[in-house]
Amino acid sequence: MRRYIKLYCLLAGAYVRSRLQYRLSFGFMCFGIVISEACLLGLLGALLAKFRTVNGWTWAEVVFLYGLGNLAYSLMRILGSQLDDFDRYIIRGELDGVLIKPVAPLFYILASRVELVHVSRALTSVVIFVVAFHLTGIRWTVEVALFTLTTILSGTLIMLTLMLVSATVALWTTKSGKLTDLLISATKEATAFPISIYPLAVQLLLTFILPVAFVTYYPAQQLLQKGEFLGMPESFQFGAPVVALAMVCISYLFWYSGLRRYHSTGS
Amino acid sequence: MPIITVEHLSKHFKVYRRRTGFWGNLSSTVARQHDIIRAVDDVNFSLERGELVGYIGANGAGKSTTIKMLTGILVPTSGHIDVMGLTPYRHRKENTRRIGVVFGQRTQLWWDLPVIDSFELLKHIYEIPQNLYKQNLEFFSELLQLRPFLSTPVRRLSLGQRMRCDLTAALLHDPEILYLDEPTIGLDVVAKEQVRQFLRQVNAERQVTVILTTHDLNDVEKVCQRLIIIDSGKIIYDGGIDALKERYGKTRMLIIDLAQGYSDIQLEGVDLIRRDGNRIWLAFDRDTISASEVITQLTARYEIQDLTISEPEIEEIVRRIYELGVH
Repeated sequence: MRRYIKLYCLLAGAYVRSRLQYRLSFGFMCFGIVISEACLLGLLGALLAKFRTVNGWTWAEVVFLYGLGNLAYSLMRILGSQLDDFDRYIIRGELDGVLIKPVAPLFYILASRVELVHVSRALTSVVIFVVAFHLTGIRWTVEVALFTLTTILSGTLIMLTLMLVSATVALWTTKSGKLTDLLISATKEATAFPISIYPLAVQLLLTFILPVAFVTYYPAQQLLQKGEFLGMPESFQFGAPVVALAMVCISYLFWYSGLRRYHSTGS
Repeated sequence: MPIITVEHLSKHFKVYRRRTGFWGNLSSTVARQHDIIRAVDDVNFSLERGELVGYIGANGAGKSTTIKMLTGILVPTSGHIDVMGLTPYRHRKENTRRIGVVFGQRTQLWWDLPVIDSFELLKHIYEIPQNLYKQNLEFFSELLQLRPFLSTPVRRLSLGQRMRCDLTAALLHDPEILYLDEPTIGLDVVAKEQVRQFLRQVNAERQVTVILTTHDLNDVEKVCQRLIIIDSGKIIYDGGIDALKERYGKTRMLIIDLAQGYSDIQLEGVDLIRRDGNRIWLAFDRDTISASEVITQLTARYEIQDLTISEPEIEEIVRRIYELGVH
């Protein structure tokens, strides 16, 4: 375990140092992310100024959702950027280079890219989230803080494992980049609004198939005391860690079977 | 006790047929038909510790597939592999600690970082004890003259320098076996010679067993004692290089363009190897019949436009084996 923590830091550090060889590009990326975040927030503000509420959710509450989702999203991007274009491991045969090292392949792949560019996004989301937290009038207690922290971590894991599942598809099809891109943007959008605005089919999809409703919507029921459950069990508001754990198991099994397939076909 | 034993090793791939056009595409998606490619087909060999073996074959002959099975990347369809008492795909991690692998086409180094950083990272990945690491780094830096560019980013190295670093990277953890997949590809003559000399030295001084695949037969001739030739997944030659020359080197090949397509070609002491339109390939043993005798016989019976006679270099022998098979 200690070896793996040390290795993670070393490999991630190597990536960060490589990245900093191109400081200007790194700076521009960070700047670009902050700008795009600000634009999105502006758009959200403009929309809400016109409509006042979204399905009974106030401006502050929607920004709260947006901040919470974005926080999990940016953590996922920091930790899982290697999954963005995982298919190059297969197309360019880089997976072979991983398999000849005495390390667990998935660990090695994730550790070898920790994308600090997305820290700028995470910091922006923290600011948005803290402001929204304040505006919604939630009172800070130890319980609330712990619940919030668990929610963010679970949300990160749910998004990360979804990425992993979509990246793993490449072990069968060789290419998965487009699918992953689609999933990346879809999950981000889906966490920003209360899912009650969508038709039932989409609500079911976001609860049971791509469970991103557990990243923001259900936990927010607890934090904001909305009591909006769409006919689902009320316990769903505490469901995020359970869903995250289940997703970790499912996605790892999927990854493992993909790797087994790679071992037998090599393509 | 051999260090590597391979018995009845096979690897078959399913290749799905694709038809062209919209309907063809649709029907091949719905009802998928596949062909079986026998990339490696019932291969047997064993290697003793300290051997230097060249593993050669035309593109797609099954070289890389074999190497991938030996290194634990691919699981065989059938057959048995024993590498130092381990089954590579089953004991993948254990196996990787005891082998070194160099892919000539792909570097294992961190592209944007100084060379030394890659070595440091590998030290942690392979858990190499500090004193052993220092000792090995010293040894290879000296032998391969790495010092001038140890702190240069890998992306700025020449191909030859990079290959020297890749070789070091593969050997820092003192592997017992070194697999090299086309280590000299793209290198200039001087760099190739350096790599070859290095491999001989590592083999002699550190008793590292070396298996290398290559398309440059000079590599084989200058480095290896033993040659394994694979063709269409089957081993067609396994033995010494001198023995190969001895066995096939006496044969001469005469390539003749005839003025017209004769239906029947009959010559004494000569084998008709191949025929393509008016061009024929004749092989003869120079101990039995001389080239001038063959040409005299030919010109007496047939009208000839052009002829070439070739003496087999190792390159030529192997090319002929690829083209025509073993005779």
